[in-house]
Amino acid sequence: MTDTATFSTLAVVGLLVIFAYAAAATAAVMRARHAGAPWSGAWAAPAREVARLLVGQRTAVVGSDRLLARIGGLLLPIAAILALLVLPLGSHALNDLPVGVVWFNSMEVMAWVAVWMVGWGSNSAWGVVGANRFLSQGLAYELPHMFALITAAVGAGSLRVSDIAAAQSGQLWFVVVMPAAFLVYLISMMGFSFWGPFDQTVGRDIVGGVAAQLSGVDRLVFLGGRYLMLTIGSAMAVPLFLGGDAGPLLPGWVWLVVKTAAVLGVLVWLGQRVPTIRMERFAEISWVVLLPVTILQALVVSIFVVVGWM
Amino acid sequence: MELTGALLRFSVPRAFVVVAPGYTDVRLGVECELRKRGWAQSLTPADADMLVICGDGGERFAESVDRVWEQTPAPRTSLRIVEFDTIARSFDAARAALCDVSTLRVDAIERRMVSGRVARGSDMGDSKHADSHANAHSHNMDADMDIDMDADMDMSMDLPGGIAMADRGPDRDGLKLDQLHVSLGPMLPDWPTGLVLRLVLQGDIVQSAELEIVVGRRDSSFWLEAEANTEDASQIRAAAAADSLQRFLGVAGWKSAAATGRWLRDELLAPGADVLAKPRFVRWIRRVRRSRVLRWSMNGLGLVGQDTPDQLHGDVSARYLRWAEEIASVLSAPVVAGQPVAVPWGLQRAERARAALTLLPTMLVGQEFTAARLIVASFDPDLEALHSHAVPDSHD
Repeated sequence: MTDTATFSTLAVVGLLVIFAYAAAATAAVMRARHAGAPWSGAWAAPAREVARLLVGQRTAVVGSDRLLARIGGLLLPIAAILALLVLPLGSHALNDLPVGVVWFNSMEVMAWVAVWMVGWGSNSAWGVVGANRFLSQGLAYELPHMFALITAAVGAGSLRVSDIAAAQSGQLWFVVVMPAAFLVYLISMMGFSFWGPFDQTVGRDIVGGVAAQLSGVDRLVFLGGRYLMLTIGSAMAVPLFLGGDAGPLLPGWVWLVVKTAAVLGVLVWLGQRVPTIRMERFAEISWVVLLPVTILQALVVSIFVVVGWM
Repeated sequence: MELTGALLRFSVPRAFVVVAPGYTDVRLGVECELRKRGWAQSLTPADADMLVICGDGGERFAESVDRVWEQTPAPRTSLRIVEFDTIARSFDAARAALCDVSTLRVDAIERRMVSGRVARGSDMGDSKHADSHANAHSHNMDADMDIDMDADMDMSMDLPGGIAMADRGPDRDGLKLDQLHVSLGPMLPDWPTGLVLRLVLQGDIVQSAELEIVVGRRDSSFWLEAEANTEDASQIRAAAAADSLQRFLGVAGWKSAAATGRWLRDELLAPGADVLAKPRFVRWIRRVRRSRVLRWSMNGLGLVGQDTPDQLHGDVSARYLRWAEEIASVLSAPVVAGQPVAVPWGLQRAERARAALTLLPTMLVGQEFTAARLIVASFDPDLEALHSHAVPDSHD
């Protein structure tokens, strides 16, 4: 009994890591192609980078709070793995909490404290600027993100993630019913994994920002955690908006894999395609456009539910 | 032992490149070689295992290099490249050095001992260069002075805990806020070679900015010489524009576009290369010129009035689009070689750099940190051109 639980946990975490690696490898291949570098071997680039970071010394600037920074770095992958608990795979999740959506949301909010701790703990101007940027980014994306999650929960009448997936079987997927919520979810997900257009936290203009002073294993854990966050965010989009494992012909688990890979692929592609959006502009858009749109979306879905269309 | 060696052989080196003023040719060669080998360039010494020093820049430069070396974690190797022709050979040697476990191990132990001493804050006596930081940390009183004297990219990060880190001053809203002293350059990635900008930040708003120019040992300007010695000057001009544009795109956080810009620059500089044969570059320039997100993000930043050289007018968007136009004109149709230009290109470049330097300190005040970096990148003053051209005192 316990053995199977341990085994399935390890298997699921392993799957998450494989997906995260695939995302990193795809990004590496795309980078190499854009740079005109040899790209056929680029799929191995993340593995070779891991090798480099494993032998690398861990350095810290004098006066930096190493413990704080390392706890922060560790928090990121831990939060991603804990969020994995409530992800329904097939008919059940590792731990299908009745408040799964809230659990997922709170795990992803851990990114705030994790990133901030790493930035502040590194005792560097770059780190602090990056950490503060992440806080303002968080303030900008978090409310629309919560409304997007709530809208899905309202549509299904349950906070249990597997119920939300089940509510879509045989019906229209939530991505059709609530497209605005889905889009906002994707945007805010890139926000909490500081990916693509929302990567100012680790921006090039502040030489890597929060990650500027990280080396060796510390860097590996932090950047690895970022990919895990991105992956779990993509995987969660499937039960919330894309009908879970529903799909014609193929078995359910294949659909899960395909849908997750598709969402992740789009995000990786976007990360290459779109320039970083300055925080100032994103905060404006987020409060003036995204927040009202998600509230309206929640209202519309609520009316659907009351009228009995959902 | 075996595992460490295997991991080292498997890993790909990551280089931190520092450039002495006057060695742009070496920088371009190094960046091209790194790109072709698929080796990455790091943004900080902490993330590098290879310190590539392009050229020789005198004592001041050497001090900065020492500090960067101190921050580079083991396993590490450093290489100085002075001649363009030796780049590939030096890289091979550096790669070999990064696989030599026993030598690396000795260096790692030494490095740990040095950093251990620094961390304990023991007085290092009067050892000057490599340990100058350690001194600053053990004497509280020196800390502030050290910030002001230092031109290293990461000076202010080194303040140890316990020391009064920042002085305070009134901010624009009349609050008293901490002031953070940050020096940008001369060893910052995507940064004009030889430029140092000392900022006082409150939060991430620039309160004051001061310029300094690091003068090198070599007084050559790669772009001007290349333009003068070629039959197809427009190609070199486009390459110079591509170099500035890729830097700007890097700062703007558009990594893929920056990488392609760098590739195009290398192609334009390569003898006998036919960039027109590659539709990829045409697509790239179209994408950069049409990107709404980029323009929306940059519009209204760093507005410059009419009393400056033409090339600097307008906001950040106008300036990066100007580079894009220049590149596009070469890509869309082969320009007739040796077009007569009213003002020599080199002189224009020097004047532009000069005007930018005059403008920058006042322009940056009140800007957010990102905006400040974007504004500098949109000027990309060529200090080498400025040095080799004695510009008449037409301004101020």
